[in-house]
Amino acid sequence: MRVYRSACPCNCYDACAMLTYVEDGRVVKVEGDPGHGYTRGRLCAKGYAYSRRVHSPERLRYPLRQFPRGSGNWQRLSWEEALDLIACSILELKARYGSTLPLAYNKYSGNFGWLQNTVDAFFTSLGPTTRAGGSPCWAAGLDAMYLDFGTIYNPDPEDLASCRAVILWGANPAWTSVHSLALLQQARERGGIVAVIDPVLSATARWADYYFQVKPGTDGALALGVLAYLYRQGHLEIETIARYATGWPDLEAYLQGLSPEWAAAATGLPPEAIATLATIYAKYLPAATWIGFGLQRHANGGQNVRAINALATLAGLQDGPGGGIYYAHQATWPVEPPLAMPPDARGSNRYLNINNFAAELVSCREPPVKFLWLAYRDPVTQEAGARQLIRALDTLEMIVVVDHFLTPAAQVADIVLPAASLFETWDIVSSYWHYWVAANEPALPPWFEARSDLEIVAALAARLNELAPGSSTFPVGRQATTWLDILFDQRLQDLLGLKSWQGLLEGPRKARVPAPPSGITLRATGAGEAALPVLPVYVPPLAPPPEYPLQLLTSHQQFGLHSQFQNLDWLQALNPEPAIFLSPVAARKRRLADGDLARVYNENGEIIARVRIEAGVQEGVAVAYEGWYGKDRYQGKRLFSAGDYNVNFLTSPRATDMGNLTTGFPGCAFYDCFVEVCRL
Amino acid sequence: MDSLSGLMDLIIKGSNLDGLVRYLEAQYGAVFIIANPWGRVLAASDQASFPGGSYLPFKLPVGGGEGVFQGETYLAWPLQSGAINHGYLVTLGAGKLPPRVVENLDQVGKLFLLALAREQAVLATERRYRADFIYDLLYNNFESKEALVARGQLWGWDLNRPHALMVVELLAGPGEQFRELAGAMVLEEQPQAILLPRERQLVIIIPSLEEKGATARRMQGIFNGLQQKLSRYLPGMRLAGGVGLFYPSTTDLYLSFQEAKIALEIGKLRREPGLVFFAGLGVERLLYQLTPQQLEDYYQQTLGRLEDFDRENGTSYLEVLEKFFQYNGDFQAIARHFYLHPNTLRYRLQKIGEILEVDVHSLETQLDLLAALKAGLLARHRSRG
Amino acid sequence: MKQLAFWLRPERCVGCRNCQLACKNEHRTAARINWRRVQEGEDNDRRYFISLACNHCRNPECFRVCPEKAYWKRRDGVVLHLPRRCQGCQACVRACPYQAPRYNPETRKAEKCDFCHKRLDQGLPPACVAACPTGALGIVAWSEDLGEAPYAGWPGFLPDPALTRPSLQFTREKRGRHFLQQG
Repeated sequence: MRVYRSACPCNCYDACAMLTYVEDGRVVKVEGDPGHGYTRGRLCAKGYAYSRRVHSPERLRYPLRQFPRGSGNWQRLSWEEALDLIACSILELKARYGSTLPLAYNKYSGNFGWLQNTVDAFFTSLGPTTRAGGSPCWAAGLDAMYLDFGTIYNPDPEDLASCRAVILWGANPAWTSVHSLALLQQARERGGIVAVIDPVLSATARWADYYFQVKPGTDGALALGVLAYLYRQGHLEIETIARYATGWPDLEAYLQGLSPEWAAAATGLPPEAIATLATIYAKYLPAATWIGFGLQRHANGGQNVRAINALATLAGLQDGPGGGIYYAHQATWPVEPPLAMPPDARGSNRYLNINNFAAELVSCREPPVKFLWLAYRDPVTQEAGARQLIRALDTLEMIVVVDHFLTPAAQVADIVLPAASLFETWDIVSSYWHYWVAANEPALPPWFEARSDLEIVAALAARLNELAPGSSTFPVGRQATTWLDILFDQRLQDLLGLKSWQGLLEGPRKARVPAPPSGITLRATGAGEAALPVLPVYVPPLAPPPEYPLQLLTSHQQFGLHSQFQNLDWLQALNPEPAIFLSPVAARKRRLADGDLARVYNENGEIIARVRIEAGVQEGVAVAYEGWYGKDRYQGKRLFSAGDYNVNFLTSPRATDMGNLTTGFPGCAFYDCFVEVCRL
Repeated sequence: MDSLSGLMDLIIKGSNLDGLVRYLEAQYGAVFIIANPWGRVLAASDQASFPGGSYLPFKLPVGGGEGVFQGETYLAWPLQSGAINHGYLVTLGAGKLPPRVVENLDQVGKLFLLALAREQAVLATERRYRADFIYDLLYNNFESKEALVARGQLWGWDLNRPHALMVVELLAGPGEQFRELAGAMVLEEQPQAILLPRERQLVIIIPSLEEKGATARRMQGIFNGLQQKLSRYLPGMRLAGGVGLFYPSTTDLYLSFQEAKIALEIGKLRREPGLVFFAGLGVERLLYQLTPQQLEDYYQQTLGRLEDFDRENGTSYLEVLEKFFQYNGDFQAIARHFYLHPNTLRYRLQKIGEILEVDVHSLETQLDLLAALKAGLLARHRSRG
Repeated sequence: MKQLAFWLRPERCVGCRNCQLACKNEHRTAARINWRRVQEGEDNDRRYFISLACNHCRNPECFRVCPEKAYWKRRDGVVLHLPRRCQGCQACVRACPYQAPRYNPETRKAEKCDFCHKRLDQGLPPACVAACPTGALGIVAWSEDLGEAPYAGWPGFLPDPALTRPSLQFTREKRGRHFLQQG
């Protein structure tokens, strides 16, 4: 039995390094790499299922063609046939429109390995193309960080263990960053406390010492109410603040008009909650505030993050190591390697908002988009307003999906190409949370005819150049390891203290943590330029329309990572059907009982889910976890199949207040979604 | 000093305790005995008066000291190492003990402690190997019957013969003495018994007799004998015991062991524990399989109203019902228990029937009521805060 | 006699299922068969996650009811099942109050947690224990029969330990919890 180094490339805080045990060409088990300083030899429930996922009977084995599209009529193709069909489509469109802009590429976070950049490079190699830009994930919060601190900085999260208080503001690490729980538990054992602020009584909230249940989108009112309270009680170090924070007098004037009663009314908390949270910030030092991605997925999301930034910074100026604001960072991420476009190419790429892709795809003119390459994601389950996306995709002439499984997006594609898994490829994986970087080496021979994304685009570039010489500048002979040499540039070498990335084959390595920002800008002129409030003042959330009184929160699920993992039998056994979680009052009003099948609907569409009544859900809220897509038939009925169940049938591509500055487009206000529920 | 060198010489040559005490008697002209902390004779220079394994006929003063027994003076010297008492060196002589003996006792005692520790270490190793084997026997931890029988032969046990098994537990009393005494007491009666002490329990395995009834009577005899003997040394102690089914093959002894433990546990729930045979468990065996909630539900459905009535009216009908079954429906006996007239009791039983709306004289009802009482007892014993 | 036991600290458990999936990964059990399962239950008005596998009982019922003598108990107290002796009668599946033995319809045999005895023999903790991020699940070695003491923190929603004497120790941690919610 041989052991190989692997690294989980999925979109996750923890970015585990793994050890893969291989026998007779099969993964017999995976384990956490004890040499990884953040994950310390453990994986998560999903990660332990890799040994199932890699050999899943449902994993795609061969290139497939669906004709006609959406018919379910699949034919196996040889790679030559598949690449020919794709190359001909590319060349025909290029000839027809005299441009490569009809070719679009939409990717996201299904695999955050460094080599993801090679597919971007491939599209660059063709000439200017249409790209999905922006981020459905963290855009508004990133902008808030940038406005306040002038940089995107995350302290070393290993220091959470030495904090006296950890405030998890809209984060549920029990489900989304389980290794962080070990650090929080250490903090508790040293006498610290863990507080959770969340509209949903999450698993982490159940486990924590303090839980504050706020109405969705009112986090800013809580932060500012607590800040005003601390100010009035004389707990703020005004002199230090005046030196460290620009624009304090303006905020001071604003705070004078705020009261705990106001904050309590706005957030739905009892008034004593304001004083309680204030005491935590004032008395438990150092205090760490972990701002989750969920709370910025509102129309006022960025503004709320700015308010929390103000509270955590101004209250925590005396914090020792570990204190401060945690959100995310990009310090250890590579940049796309430069590649020249073909000499005859004119113009530059056209970017479509990834969060409003359907509408922008259809409205694209001169030239329209006709070809779409979907890789590293399933927008059909993950994009707000999924029904509109399905309709928009149908206007295209060619859709290519590269994936491991026949996902809902693959089911509306023309050609589906089987992607190699992490166990069959080289890669390097960074985290947006901790500072460890890990290498991934091939542990298995190729799975049937699956190929890595890099091999696929290299072969496609070669075929294009055979058919039309000079149509791609992609270096087709360049090996994965050579790409990694290029991506491992001077900056990353310095950060990791390594001359070459091969040093990572000795084990994961931790990068140097950058210096923290030197101050906070409470009066952000950049915000004013973007027609946003310059101060971190409170902007109330959207109110539900009378016909759809329930706010639907579609937070991350436990047994999947977005659209990945939950389709595996090991995990689906734990999570066999989708549920809509309601408060006892909301359920009673609608005469719904626990276990009933219910229709959840609004102007965008409807889904059917099993009612679960939970006292931890607020009256005005309904919760349905995202990413679930299921079987074609459920107990003999067509109920929860991919075509029928998808929380994003209900969401709409509503923009968050921020995101332009750092990602080029606003984020998506997934949670400003309003629905009604009735018995099926 | 010569006698001390002589003792050392004997110890180096590997003499056992018997050899050492005989040597001392020859040297000093007094009787020497080595006893364990509870007065059991490990070695004696006068085997006729103090046979090995028997208990000294006089009480040993705690921490040692002098005493008189049948006109002779004895001196008990504790064999102490740190806080642990390993036993006593006892000398016994007519009249006053010669001063020579008393002067040297300190050094002699040290040498005996050494000899005793060595002998105990050998015994402990032997005991551990034996315990391991019995553990394997009790937990189906062997490959085949042949392997089992061969390993048993090493200890002189014929495991080709069927054996029966009993687990005895000390419910109240000092565990240390129980462990020390109980095994020896069983071996006095049943030298071929296989024993495994487990904290406050003793597993006793004996060769079965030809007939099952005889084996059961033998088991009961061992239990009763143990109870009587132990109570002499440990006043106030209480025992419970369980016996498993009898199987023709020793490869099934592990089943008997599990059954014995179940019988024991059920017995402990009874008001007056004693020896319980798994084969003789009645409805309790069925009740025992149910969850506390199921038991409580059954109890409440059957007797809940009676309990409520008692609580609301300050009566004690439930207790009357319990005694009714305990005394097998003998009104005279129950009446004596409650200091009441039998007619009053008849009336109360009638009243119980009215409260529960059942015919208390029907056997079917009585079965329900008795089962519900037992269920209630089990449920209360097993429910926890 | 030594007895290995699982050790639970329910106040630390977040229900992440690392233990359950690490077990599947280690033993590659069939999709619907979990040797270890995280259950939920309510005790004193609080919901708890409890991670349960085979409790390697002192009085194992599986062992008593098996007509094929397929169960045995090692000297470290680990109860093991010999698949080659198992005829799939499921007597153990019905008898175990904790549903530790599971029937596998494909192999037509019962199977259950083996305390990762191969890992133990290499000096490693069981896979489930190694995977637990909060220390909610651990192991302890009892050197003697501790009587009722290990069951002091036994949650009311679990089957009563009196019958089989499970080797499962609970340590309850007293931490006040503060929920600040709408009236």
